Amino acid sequence: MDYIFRGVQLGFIYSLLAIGIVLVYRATRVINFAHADFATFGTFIFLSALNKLGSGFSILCAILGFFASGLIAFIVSYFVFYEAQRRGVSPLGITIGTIAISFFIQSFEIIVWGPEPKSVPSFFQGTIDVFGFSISKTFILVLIVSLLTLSVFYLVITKTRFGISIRAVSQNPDMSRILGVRFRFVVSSIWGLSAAIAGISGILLAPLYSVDQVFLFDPFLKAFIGAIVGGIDSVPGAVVGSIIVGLAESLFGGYVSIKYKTAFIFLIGVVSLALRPEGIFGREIKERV
Amino acid sequence: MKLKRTTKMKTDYVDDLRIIPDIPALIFTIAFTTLFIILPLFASSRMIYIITLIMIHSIAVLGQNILIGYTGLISFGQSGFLAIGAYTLAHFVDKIGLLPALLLSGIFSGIIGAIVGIPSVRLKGPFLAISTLGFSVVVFQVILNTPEISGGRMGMSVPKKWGIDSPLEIYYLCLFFTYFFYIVGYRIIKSHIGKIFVAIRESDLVAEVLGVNVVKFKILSFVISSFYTGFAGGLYAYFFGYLEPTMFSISESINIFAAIVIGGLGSVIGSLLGTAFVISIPQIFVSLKEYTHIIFALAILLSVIFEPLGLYGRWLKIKLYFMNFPFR
Repeated sequence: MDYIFRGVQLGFIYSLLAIGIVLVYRATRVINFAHADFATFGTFIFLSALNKLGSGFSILCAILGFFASGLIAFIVSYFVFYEAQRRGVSPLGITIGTIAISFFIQSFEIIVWGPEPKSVPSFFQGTIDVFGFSISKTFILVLIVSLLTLSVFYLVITKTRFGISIRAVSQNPDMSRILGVRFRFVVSSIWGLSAAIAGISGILLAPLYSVDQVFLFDPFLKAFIGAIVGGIDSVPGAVVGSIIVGLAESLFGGYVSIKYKTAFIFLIGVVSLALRPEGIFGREIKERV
Repeated sequence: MKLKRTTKMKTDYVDDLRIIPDIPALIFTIAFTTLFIILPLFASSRMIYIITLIMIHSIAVLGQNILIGYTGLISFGQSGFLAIGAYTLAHFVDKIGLLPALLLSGIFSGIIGAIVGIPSVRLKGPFLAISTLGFSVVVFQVILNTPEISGGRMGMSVPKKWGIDSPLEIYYLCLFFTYFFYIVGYRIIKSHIGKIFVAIRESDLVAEVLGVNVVKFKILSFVISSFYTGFAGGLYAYFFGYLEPTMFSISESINIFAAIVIGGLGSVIGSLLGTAFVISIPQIFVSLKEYTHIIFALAILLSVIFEPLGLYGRWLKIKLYFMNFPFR
């Protein structure tokens, strides 16, 4: 039972990362390999702010981290990837470009904050009893924050004008441009929004790992596999897939072998791709010549 | 007025196959070969070390360029294949000698490559990249967690005998193999196999319609590239004489990938140029270790946005400029 709670907790954190991967992929057909690094940047800003202001302002610091990761992704997209796209670079080329951006941010973080891992105190200690199960307070916090983020995200995407233009750009970039959507701004905001949501997951994961410039790489890979399992072009699929991956990781780590759990996750990804390449919720991929 | 033709045009397939097409290229090749052979007479031992490292990596980079640049299958399995090659050599060099052990590293890594290549039949682009990245992670974890393979916490030393042990002898060994593998790689790419690889890269659907057995050639591409990488891994192990699992982390994959992109996707000479760039930059700027990745990142971004052919494309343009000198 403990493993299931832990798995669900990990799954929700992964789903925050996976949503961003799916959003960017739908809008631009680019797999964002710098996703984890945008989030790590936000986490570092969060940590610095926490050290400056003290733990009393942790919510303020978290909001700062949230905006920092969003802002850096927005800037990178606005000034680098959009220019690249305008010059006729293919999505695959931009995917390679995201790897370069990932190097860049990592080196920048080493230069500014140093290479040694930093430990973060966990937000709450102790457990509370719910229906006879003892549940850690961190789990409750993760659950509340992720559900809140997911529902706010859902409302933004479906109800606001901004969300509608995001969906328009994802569905048909040329037509949305003709109809007057500010394409450059909206595409860059998609990158920014996805990175900001990923920043939340970085802040939630910080107490579980120690923070260094690559600490989110492993969760990023798992979130990516979650997105593949659920369907790379479906947001609900990303959430469901990530929870499946989180549960599988926790249960496999608990009952079978903790050393090979990452290997097992990749096995799930490969099997899922072999059986159903479009994922659980995804549309079938058709190719035209 | 009749314009003088600046280069000899290729008129048939035999011309296309020729490695040294004309007199300037012949002079160039002879000059370079002589330079590399007499280099140890005046170069410092550190320089020899760096050049040997470049040569070993360039074999792996060429192999992966056949896969990534020519066949268009993005893969991050490089560090896994390097590790397989290296540990195969480390375990067998004592029993069967250096050359058979090197060959075995290549063959074993090629077999694993065929297995890893199976998903490539259905996956492409970033999805294949992630699943091969998974392969690298799995190999890394298996080596890290199995003391029987990795020699435990202390790492593993590779015995050096069989007549080749000084850095100079290893330099000449690597020089020989680099020439050998580059000539073989050039022939593979110019042959019908290479043409099919390029056809698969442009569109595997069209290639299939035109009668290419896409499954067979995708897996063949994986086998060739992982043979190259495994062989390079073997040389790598023998060169260092010492192995530990952290030498084969994901960053090794990313270095090789960066070398391919910077040097030029789908070019033989580009593999060499890219490797020279990627290996020598950290060695030259030792004191600025943190900044080397920033240099890599900028180099990759610049080559993706402005020069998709990488350093090789730059080189072609410079050559063209001098060949048609007064005209542009």
